[in-house]
Amino acid sequence: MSTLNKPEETLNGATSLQGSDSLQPTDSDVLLEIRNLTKHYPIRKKMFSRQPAGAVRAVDGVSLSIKRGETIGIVGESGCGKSTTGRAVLRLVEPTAGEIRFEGTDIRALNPEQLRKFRTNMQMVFQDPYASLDPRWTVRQILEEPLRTHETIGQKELEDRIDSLMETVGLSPYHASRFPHEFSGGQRQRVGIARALALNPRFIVCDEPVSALDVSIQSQVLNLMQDLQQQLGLTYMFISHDLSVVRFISDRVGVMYLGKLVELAPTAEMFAEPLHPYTKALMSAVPQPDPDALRDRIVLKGDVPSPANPPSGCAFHTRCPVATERCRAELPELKTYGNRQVACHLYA
Amino acid sequence: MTAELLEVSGLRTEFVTGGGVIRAVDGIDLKISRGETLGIVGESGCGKSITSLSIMQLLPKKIGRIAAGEIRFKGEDLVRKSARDIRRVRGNRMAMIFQEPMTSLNPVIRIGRQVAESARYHLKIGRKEAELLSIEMLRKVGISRPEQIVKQYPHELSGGMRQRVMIAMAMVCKPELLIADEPTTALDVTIQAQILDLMRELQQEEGTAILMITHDLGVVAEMCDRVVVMYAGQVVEETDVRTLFRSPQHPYTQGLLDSLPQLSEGRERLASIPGQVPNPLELPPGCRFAPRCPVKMRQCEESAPELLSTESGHQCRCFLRQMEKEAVGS
Repeated sequence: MSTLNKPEETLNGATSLQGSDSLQPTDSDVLLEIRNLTKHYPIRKKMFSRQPAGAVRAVDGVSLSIKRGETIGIVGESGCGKSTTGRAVLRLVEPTAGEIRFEGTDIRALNPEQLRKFRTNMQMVFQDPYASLDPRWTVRQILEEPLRTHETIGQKELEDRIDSLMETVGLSPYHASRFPHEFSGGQRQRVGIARALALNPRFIVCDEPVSALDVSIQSQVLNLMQDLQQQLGLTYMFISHDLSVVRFISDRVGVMYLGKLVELAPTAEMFAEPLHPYTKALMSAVPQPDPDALRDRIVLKGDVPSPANPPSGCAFHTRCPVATERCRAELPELKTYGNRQVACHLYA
Repeated sequence: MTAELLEVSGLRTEFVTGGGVIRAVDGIDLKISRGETLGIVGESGCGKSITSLSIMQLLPKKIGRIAAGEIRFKGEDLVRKSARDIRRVRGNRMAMIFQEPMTSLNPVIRIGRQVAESARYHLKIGRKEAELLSIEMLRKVGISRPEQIVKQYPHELSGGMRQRVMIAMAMVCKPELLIADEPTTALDVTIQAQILDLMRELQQEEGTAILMITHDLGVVAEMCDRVVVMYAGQVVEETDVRTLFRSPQHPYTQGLLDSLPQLSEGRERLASIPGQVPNPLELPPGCRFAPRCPVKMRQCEESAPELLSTESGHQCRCFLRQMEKEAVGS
């Protein structure tokens, strides 16, 4: 544990960068400020053609600020842009437009070398623990890589760090010489978490970290993530399609539909009273593990439209049970009502 | 003829692997009556999918085999039937839908032909008639513009549409038993709700019995009449759906239900089951759940408990419940 709590050492790079780049004073509570984040993937009509014929609007103007030590959950269905948002925040995919400020540092303005150094602050845990660990590397090699890349430490210290990382995530240090295939899904995800923790990051994007796991294992990993957050003061962006998991882990929840944030609210309030018609439908669609649960389900018709050709006005109007003429014509903005935000003409 | 549509008794399915023989399913009994929905729940590797493949006689030929047991469908034992006789039943009187609608549809054959294939084979109808039938089936599963969809290929459809096509394919001969192996796991929740609704509607219309295999306890609560809980190749508990959620008896079922994060509850620490599912090549000598069980006794590590049932038909494989019962009895 002791080796993990040395923030000064690894954050040096960050603090120096911050001094040079923070133009405006930032709210000390806010760790990450995202403004109008956009990622469009061009569609080319002909192969090798330079002229894009259009764009898939994977993320289309997402703004949110993430407070220090909080967990912000992002939910939505396949193709809503939640994973792309997570990746764009870390610049694992290059955003098309927008602003991302990490404690005042404009991440989009960093050059590749600065970005590489800055990544010690921000890490990611991926969905599929089978695909995100190199099958030819032992767990020791997997955990060593970030340490060797970013820090100059001796062999002895390196081994101590790896042992303590393994213990932190509930694995025995003795397992470090094994290969990923020798572990179960839950243990592999622990390795993925240990790798993300290796450089003492402050912010972790977790992209569906428990979706590939069985329920009994899922709860072990969720508990672990919550413990680590408390011990190490981490801030999470937790991306998931599973509403009950998001409810468990998050302080605030953002709901995405077709690349846009349609609602953002503190978890308890969101689940007590969803405002956006899409959030309502999404919540009512989740099967409850209770045979006597009341089911006034809102069944949405049809599929999510293509993000290459989103509907006019409010993107949800094609499936919305309460859509009006105005929704077809005019795009609702994400407006603030008290401590929550919603993008719907119903509340204007 | 018995009242049961399907009766599986003592089913044991084995796989021959490099490391030895794996008993993926180890002595399972199941009963499904007409029009009923039976759920099988359990985690990865518990044998629930292998059970369904055994019933359909779709085990991989070279490595998998049914080592013992009977599978009686309408009184006739499928295990002892010839491949030809099985083909008369499969796709006709019983049909199956799979988890991944992309990989279980043929990518190079048009939707219309795939939907009507089993009808052409079993009902001996012509091509024209088959096309009309597939259009009718697609309309029935809620696909708009079926006349155009029959001419399309699977990749042109969304995941939800493909799963509707799978259901249309399975229902085309009006089977008496539909086996659904994780039918909505690959789908988004709003699409899942549509598909579950559709399955319920079709069941009411046609009186089909459904064997629902899933890991999602929410889907079980919503769809099933009775539930079988499997662990490491065995049934550990069986009861009606209400009793399962109200008063689960087996410590594994209890752990499973406790570890669910609930949509209707606040944020606290989740209960979890320590450890993991045992390696099928190194099963514990006593109760298979003993290494992870919070209430295990010495007896549990030494001998294996039997699946015993109470008067109400609630079955449970646990020494603790047996002791309680004996204490009440004496």
